[in-house]
Amino acid sequence: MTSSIYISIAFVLGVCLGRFSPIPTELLSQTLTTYVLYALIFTVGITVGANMEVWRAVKAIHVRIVLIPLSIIAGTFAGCAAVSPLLRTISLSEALAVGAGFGYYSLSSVLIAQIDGEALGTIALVSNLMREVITLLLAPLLVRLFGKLAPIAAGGATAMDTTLPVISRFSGKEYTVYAIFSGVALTFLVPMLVQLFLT
Amino acid sequence: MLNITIFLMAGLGAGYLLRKNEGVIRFSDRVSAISILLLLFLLGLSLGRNAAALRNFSLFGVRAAALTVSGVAGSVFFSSLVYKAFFRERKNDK
Repeated sequence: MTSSIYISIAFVLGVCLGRFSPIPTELLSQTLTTYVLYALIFTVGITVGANMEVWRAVKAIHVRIVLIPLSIIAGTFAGCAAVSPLLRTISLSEALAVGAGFGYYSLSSVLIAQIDGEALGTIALVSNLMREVITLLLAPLLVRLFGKLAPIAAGGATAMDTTLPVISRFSGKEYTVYAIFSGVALTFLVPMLVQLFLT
Repeated sequence: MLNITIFLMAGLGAGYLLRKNEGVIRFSDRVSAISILLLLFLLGLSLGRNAAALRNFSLFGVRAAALTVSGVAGSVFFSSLVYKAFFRERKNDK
């Protein structure tokens, strides 16, 4: 996964250029975004497909491994649904769509911007980026307070790559398989659930 | 938006069939990284052109933080229940 620093630079550069450049870019960005988004979704599919062997972990370990992504989905949606009445301009389905990014900020923000508009897309970008940062910073504390699955839950879709090192360090090596399984399952569900909530 | 599902499924099939081919997987990772940079640049570009959205940027941050904290708290809490019920005690019987 591309480093968050480069991604932030690309985003900020875009904002500055959009704000101060007189060149009209709407047409270019609309059609280009659609095609590049399809390319990205296709490569996300490849990543998930190439990791299909994690499904063997279900049989090898126990069906209880499926409970990990399920509890993360249920908990994320419960939390976002609970807070959405306080956020006046964000509807329940929009709050759930942002939550359905599960930390996969690049994909979820672009997808949400494409379906709902750049305002919610930007909220999804910031929110899901925070999810990754919280996981990286708080992993040891989460393990101590809530058990070894907690950083996997906080990491969401990123548990398969960017937050995997901290998970394996603080939850233990035996939890890496759980983290990868859960991360792959959630990665696959990001585009599906975002679409579901916004269309 | 049906196209999204089609591209995702096509990628899934291709990835599964080509999972042993490291060159293809590496190429796909590179395409993914470049697409992400380009898409975030384009998202920034359209945000930059939207003066109203840009004015509300600090409000976005507060809302994003509220959704993150509640979403993470909910998922951590549910996963701790699963951990206590199914993982903690059976740690040694794998």
